[in-house]
Amino acid sequence: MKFSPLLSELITTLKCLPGVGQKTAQRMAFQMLERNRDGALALSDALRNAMEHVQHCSQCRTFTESELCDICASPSRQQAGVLCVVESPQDVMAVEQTSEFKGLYFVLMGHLSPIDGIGPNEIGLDRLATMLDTNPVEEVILATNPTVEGEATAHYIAQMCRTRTIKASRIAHGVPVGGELEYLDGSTLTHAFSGRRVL
Amino acid sequence: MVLRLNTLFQNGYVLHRRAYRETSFLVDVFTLEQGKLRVVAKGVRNSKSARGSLVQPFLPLQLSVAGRHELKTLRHLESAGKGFSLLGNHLYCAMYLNELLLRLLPPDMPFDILYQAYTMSLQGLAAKADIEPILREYELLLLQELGYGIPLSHTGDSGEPIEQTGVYQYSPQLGLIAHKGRYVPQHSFSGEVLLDMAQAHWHPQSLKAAKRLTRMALKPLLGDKPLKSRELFLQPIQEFSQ
Repeated sequence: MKFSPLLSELITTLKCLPGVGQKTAQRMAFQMLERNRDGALALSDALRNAMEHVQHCSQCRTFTESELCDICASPSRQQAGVLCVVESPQDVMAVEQTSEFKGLYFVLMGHLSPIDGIGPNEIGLDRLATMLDTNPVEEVILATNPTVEGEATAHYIAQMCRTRTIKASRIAHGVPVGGELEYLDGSTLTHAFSGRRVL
Repeated sequence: MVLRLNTLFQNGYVLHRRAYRETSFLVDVFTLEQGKLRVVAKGVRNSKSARGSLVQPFLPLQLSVAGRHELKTLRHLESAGKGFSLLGNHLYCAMYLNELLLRLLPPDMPFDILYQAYTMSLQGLAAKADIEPILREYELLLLQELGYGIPLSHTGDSGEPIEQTGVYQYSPQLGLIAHKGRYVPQHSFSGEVLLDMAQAHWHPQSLKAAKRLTRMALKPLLGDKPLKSRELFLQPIQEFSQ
């Protein structure tokens, strides 16, 4: 059976969502049509608004609809003099949830990965350089992922900081809270041992 | 035979991984037994999976793959030793080695000499040895293993031995040939330096010449797309000069 043109268009477009295939898209489309037309209309408005207005923050490159995101615009955070470099906006959320960090962020939107054709310019390091030059930053915390590419990115940025005599620090890696040493992989355990602390 | 080989454990390294679907990785591996392979590592990105930390470059692995097509499935994956801890420029160099392998190696063909050299180079880089000799020896070996080796002891056209006092130039088709025409320092090599390169006798002049020579030889193989890992070295230097 063929669906009407509008319905099949809806199903095809729903498939652009991650993890949604033909079957799920059909279920979503019918659910919205049969049971929740208001919700679906609200969704379509929200989608349109977000897609049209959400841009990258001109300073830290995270997603925002204003010129500067809330974090960059906050005066207390600007005065903290600490900058945390992360790979994605989700990482900003994760760090924010800990409410441990009270400084500014810089979102790379990726990591250095020469094989994929991502070099320093593709992750906005030129913009980070101007940020380091114009803002009174005393310390840069490198919170990129503990992968080879993340490490390479951290080292590259640390090098940029060194030329500007700014302190650069790397987040620690080790045993997760509530984890068991027995099930830990060797490289994490090695990091945990080399980064041990005196009690 | 292929099926049997597939079920055996192979020694290898991850060259590169990229996210694939919700919880998987597409991984390029370089193994001793089968050379460069592309495999799907299923369910590895799942937070419950402990294998994610193994799908990392510069970590000696034991793995087995299954499948008859070009894209294979990763079955078993185990660590086969301590990973190489690489920092800063040494890490960028190791990434450069991976990029070269990924760009130049034909898939599904064993290169055991190259594999040993790759392991040795990583060991050298992890021990913070001098970068340049490691890279140059590796590049020369890679060219040789791919069938584009440059004979450094005799000329490519007439087959005459390279003389200490001679001046030579590189031609992509013929290799090293006796220098003809105007002397252009960028395109010519002195016989003395070439003989030093042949014996892996490294000093600033031979390293510089080897870098020029391998770049000229690699260029036609790499095509138009430049090597991105080189940018990691170029950029900071530009910054210093500003």
